[in-house]
Amino acid sequence: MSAFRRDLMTVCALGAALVVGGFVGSNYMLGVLVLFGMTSILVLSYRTITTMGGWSFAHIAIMGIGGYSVAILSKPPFGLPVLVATVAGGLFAALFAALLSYPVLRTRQYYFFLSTFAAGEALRQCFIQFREITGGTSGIAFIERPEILPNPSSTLEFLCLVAAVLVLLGIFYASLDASDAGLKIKAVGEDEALSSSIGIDAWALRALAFILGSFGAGIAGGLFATYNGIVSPSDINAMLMFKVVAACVIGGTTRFSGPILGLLFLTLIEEIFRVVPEFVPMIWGVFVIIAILFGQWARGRLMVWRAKNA
Amino acid sequence: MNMLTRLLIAGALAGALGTSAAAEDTIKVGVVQPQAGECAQWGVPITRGVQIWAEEFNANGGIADATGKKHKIEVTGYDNNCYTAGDELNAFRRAILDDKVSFILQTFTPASRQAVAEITTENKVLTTSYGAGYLGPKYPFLIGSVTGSPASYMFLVSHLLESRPEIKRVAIVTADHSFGQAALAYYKAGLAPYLDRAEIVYSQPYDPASTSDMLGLATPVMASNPDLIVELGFTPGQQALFVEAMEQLGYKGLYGSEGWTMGLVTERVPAAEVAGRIFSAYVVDASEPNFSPRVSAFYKTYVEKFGEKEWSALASVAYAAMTTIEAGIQKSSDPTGAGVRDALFASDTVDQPLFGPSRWGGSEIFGANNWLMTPLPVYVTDDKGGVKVTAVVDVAAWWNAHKDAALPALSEGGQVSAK
Repeated sequence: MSAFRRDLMTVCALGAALVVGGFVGSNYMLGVLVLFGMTSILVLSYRTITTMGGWSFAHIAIMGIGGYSVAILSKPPFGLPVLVATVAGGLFAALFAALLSYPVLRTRQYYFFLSTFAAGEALRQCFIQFREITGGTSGIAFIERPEILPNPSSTLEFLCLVAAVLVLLGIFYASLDASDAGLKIKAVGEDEALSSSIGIDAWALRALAFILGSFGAGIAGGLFATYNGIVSPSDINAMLMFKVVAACVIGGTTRFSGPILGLLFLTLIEEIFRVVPEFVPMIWGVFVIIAILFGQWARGRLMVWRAKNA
Repeated sequence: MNMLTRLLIAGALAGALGTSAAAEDTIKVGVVQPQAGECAQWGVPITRGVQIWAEEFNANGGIADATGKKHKIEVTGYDNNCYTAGDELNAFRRAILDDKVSFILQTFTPASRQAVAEITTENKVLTTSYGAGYLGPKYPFLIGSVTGSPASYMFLVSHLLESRPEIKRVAIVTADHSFGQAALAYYKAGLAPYLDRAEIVYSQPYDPASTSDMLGLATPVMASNPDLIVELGFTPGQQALFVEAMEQLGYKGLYGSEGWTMGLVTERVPAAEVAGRIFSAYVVDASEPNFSPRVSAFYKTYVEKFGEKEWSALASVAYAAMTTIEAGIQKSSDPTGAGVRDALFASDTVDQPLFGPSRWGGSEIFGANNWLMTPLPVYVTDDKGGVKVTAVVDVAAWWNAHKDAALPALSEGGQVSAK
């Protein structure tokens, strides 16, 4: 089976599993599935960014652009339908990423991590300081659910919407992955100097991955805002960023299903240990360290095995 | 079917029925507070306060409703990731949809209260706080069951201005987050009636991330030469560092805040040096022995259980907030969220177990009279690091006399939601 077909099956199966889970699960399980679906969009879009070789720490702040776009555009004087505002939020996030890509994509490795972290923090401060627009630290509350839903207050219907958006974005990212541009992005991610030497425009492809990945973050931010009914700077926090990164580290980013499995694992840990929430970040951290160490060990063994069998 | 199988099935059925009956009799209470990280300095004592409140009743077979039937109380803590609005909502979803709690104690932080307003109303879960923060006519199940944060800041600073005419210059030191913003607005509202004889010399909110450099934060406050500094937003440990930094800079004026963890303050500054200079207006501070015998007993239980070093007045704040729910349960023949709410709002006043008859108010600020205006004790430190009551503010009377001056300041600070 080709990687493209496998990825398509992964997202379709995930979307179907969310909907089926929603029909058979309790009210609380519905909420967990909605959060899982929205965070899946975040990790899939984040994986797209990692394929170009950089791990951005501005992803959650960029997600905030989507959230604030929905909060502002769906209320007077704009009064746009929530779904239209959500798509606009994705586009604004992509536009911001395009502007940001000019300075930050000139950095590599630790410097890329630091520059995206700084950019994300600057963006979060903007959400706090431009309080006439963003509501300052209190944020913007009472955001409506999408009017397109027959019963907007139904969590099950919202879950179906999230599953549909997840599948659509999943197909989009899988198509990108399998496309010529996607293959070149991966090549740049693995060896930028070598890719450039054969005429690949590494900077443009890295920017493309960053912009398209940020589009998904903006869409996820819009969904979070309309589901929670509120967006505030405190929601743009290090814990969510850590969860997205940890999902990618634990599951791996080579395959499309990796970050989803990583996220599933983290969510299970979160739910199993919900009676002792103070231990959840520690347990996540332990598994991230194990994943990093085991990943290195496994890669080493694989290289030795390949060398022996070459 | 052999005898053993039948016995096992019968036992399982009996167990299930017993569990079901016990579950029906149990009143489930959720406490949504930070349970981990730096903010747990606030959240853990609050959760413990509610747990001790429940244990007091459970030790006597449970709390009796209006029919005399006793109910055990089960308390569960939920983490809100340091008052993050989205995580507050997630915690509420767990508490309400999965654990089926009927009552929740949460923060007063306006953004967090707004985030849960819909879910509490939809599910008729009576949600209270140690103050009001945010209330609304569309959300009858969101109540403030005592005079606490953030209104207490207004009453504290106004009491200090009224009782000490020598105060001319006031510095307001608040964090730049949702509850810091609320505090700033309420401090300004408390000062508003006295601005003809006192001025605000400092009110620049600080970034919570900047508290690692306490001297850098304290220096501009000191430069404004205040007679009184009121703060809100520091964790207990940071409060102690702030007082230490101000003392090092030569400050000799007064300090005011919702509350102080004096054990931490006196580790850094001798108690005698700050005696009579540090004021607080928690809902009630149980470490003070004279205000209420019941809360004094609570303090002893807390200290026996967790040690004196672990004491925080926030525990008694949570305890006091739950006593209003307790009054509602005892007046209701149906101790559910809806039944207890009906019992509490059956008249304009509630005979509050700790504070006595108190009126519902708040309509001028929130558009709904869902805040119980209990009298507010003001505390001052003594030379042993303890506290004593220096006054009890008649909150309702002050508000009636000064609301015309205070409301514009609250409105300017974004705290008025009444149309």
